[in-house]
Amino acid sequence: MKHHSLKLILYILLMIQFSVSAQTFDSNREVFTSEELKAAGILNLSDIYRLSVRWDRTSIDGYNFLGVAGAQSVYQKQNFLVLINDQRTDINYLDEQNVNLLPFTIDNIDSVIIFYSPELYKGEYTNNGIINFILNKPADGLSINALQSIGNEVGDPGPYIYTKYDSPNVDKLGYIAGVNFSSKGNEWFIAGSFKFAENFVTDPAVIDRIQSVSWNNKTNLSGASAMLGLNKFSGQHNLIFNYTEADGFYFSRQFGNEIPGKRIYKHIGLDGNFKLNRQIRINYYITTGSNSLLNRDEKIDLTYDLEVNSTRGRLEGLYTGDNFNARLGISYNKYEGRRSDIQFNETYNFLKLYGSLVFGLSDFVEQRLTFQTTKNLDDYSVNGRLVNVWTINNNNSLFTSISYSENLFNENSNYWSWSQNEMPVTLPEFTNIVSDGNFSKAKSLGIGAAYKYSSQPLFEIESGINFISNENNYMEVPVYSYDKDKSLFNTMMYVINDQHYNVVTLYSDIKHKISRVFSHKLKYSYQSIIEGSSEIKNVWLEFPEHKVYYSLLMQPSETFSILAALRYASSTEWYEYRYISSQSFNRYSNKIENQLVADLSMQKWFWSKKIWVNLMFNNIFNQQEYYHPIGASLDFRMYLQIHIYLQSILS
Amino acid sequence: MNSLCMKLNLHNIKLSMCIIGLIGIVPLSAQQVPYTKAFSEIVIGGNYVWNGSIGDLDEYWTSDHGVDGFIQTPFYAGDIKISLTYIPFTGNDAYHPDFNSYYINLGWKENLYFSNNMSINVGAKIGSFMMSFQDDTLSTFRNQESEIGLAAEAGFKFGVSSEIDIQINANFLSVFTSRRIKLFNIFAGVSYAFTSPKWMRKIVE
Repeated sequence: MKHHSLKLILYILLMIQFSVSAQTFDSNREVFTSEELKAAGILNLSDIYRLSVRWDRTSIDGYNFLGVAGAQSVYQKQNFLVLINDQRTDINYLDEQNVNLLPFTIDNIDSVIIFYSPELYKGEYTNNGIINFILNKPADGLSINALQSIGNEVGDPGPYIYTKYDSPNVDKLGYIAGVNFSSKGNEWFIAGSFKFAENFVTDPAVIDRIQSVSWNNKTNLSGASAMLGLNKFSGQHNLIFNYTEADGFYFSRQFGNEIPGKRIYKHIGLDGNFKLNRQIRINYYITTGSNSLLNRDEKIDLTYDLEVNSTRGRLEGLYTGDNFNARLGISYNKYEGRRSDIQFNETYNFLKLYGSLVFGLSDFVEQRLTFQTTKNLDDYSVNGRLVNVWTINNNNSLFTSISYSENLFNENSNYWSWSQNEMPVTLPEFTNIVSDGNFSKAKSLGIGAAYKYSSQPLFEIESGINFISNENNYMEVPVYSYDKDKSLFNTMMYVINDQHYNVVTLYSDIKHKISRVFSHKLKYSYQSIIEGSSEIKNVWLEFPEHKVYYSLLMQPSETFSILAALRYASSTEWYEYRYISSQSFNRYSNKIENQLVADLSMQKWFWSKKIWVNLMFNNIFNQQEYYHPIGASLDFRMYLQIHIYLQSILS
Repeated sequence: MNSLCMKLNLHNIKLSMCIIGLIGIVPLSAQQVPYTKAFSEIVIGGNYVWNGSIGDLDEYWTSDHGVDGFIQTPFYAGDIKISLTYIPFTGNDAYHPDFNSYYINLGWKENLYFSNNMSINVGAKIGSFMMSFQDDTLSTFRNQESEIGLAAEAGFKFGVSSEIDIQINANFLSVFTSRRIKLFNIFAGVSYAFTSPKWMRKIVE
């Protein structure tokens, strides 16, 4: 599909439908409440991807998952937006986004809002999905919450360690502890949290590589967060501080193995608004943050000391009329890359102009138009989206959307954007990376439609289809070969540019309340690449074509529930590891077969909802469960979570 | 069910399916506890434990008799209980150190009453099977091991009075070590029931 003709269609549509209102049904938006997250046994923040079949996820260590929203990107480009209480924060480091780095636990979360498609949201336009963590609102007086979680995976040798049946030890996993406090007055609030997590790498698929690069097999994370809020100056103003240090093993696609390193994430942000009158509001934010990886305990010669700093500022006006609202804003982003050991100091600046118009054509038709243009050096990009929602009657709604997005290469803040003048990392000799450096502005066209029938609270069904056409994309094409003597991968990687490919996705969600005690959900998604070069099609094989999630909730009382869930994902194939089966003497395989996994969790509140205990069992039938060809296998495992909620204790 | 399991190629499924079958089928025929009876009484008890079989461990260790203590209460359906079972194991030779096992678990069971003071029960338990090895060559960290243990249980209860019962149970415990530990145990003991104090109901309800 030619993008210039589609641009014209979009332009005409904009002209004839230049009015929209607040939408009710958005097929590209999904919200998970705190109760849903807890009932599903979410431990790490990155486990959230498990709840939606519209996320694809992968993990090498088994507890840090990387996600891709709605087939908008691929695993090698982790670039969805992360927001905390509507404030954007940067956790991306060379195309890896690990939300576990955020310094709060599941205990702090009120809800999680996810977008799966191009969207202008809180002044940020993205083509790659959004995850917005809405944290708990402080209650009056002083509130203190705490969480402790511990897990165990089957497969220890036990007493057989003294017999011919000896096998490697499998250590405890999923140790997470967190505490947070909050307080609120008439015009202010304050909240703080601390998080600590610890794990040991013991899985046979990973441990040999770790031992080849590091003297250690332990990972730990410590993080602290503080929030201050003020209701002053005719508006609400929020200040957020985040700091996390995480010692761990970071898989580098360019290196092909884990890097033992200390990952540091920092964020300071101020956002807020001034209400000038009933109709006009000014929103603003200013944030700064940094992401870096420092060496630790490495056995081999690696220098991985790139620090990426980001600064963002935004100012926008919002006008609310009787049946419409309009938003116009300007924002500035700056990325700065620095290395400590060599002369490396690169900076990219972006100036953006954006706006949206939301209008109610009638009681039945709602529309929304958003646009953004971005300028960097002599280049610029244009993004736009038009949404229509038809509320046919109380039960039936129809949703359509069309979007056009451009992505400036320098906005990626990844290995390739930083390596245009100097290499951002010093890799060992056994890596061989080739790129002609001819990266261009990527373009994407998205067309979507969805239908929803709802007879709440008993039954709801929603189904949708999306078509995504991409142009001028680049893709990394590595070939990893396994050196069994060193227990390491050798990497040969080249980059293909100017790639065109089309993707189609389908999804369907059904919610049904069977009785006062029982309710269940069924979610299904399908995705397929329908046009593209063989290299791109090979990359797409890393995603399961079909995914199904079914959950049955039994809640006989307000304080006790049991959730049983089934997760299915069809097989995947990882072309970049196509030789590992023979090279590793069948230790690894580049194909992950169909996976059907069952989970069971039991939740109980105690002491007038002051203590919440969750006992959960994942993969209870001990099936094959892993998410990367060289990743850890997740066998039957048991977790115990204890949450303590002391709300408004001094009010 | 069996054909489904075979089709899905479910490994290690026999015990799990047996327990799920118990949970799914038993409530249909059993006396349902009204929700209001949940946590209405507390039962505390103790058992003497005879170990009938220790499976493959038999080649290397000998089990001694153990003890078991539990606390139990009616739940929204059936009873739930928390119990701790201690069984010591003695090595058959110097290469196999003695170890103590502590199985701390959460259990659920359903009762079928024949009369006011006689009932049989079936249920399941899941918990952590902890092992403490008497081996000075290992670090303190490695001296202590724990693994998930899943058990199916059936028993008989006879009421001596309105508060005191005598019970006999048998259970099959599978511990999910890389090579399974399979134990068959018989429990016999006495229990005492009393109405839950208000403060306790306030905590658990």
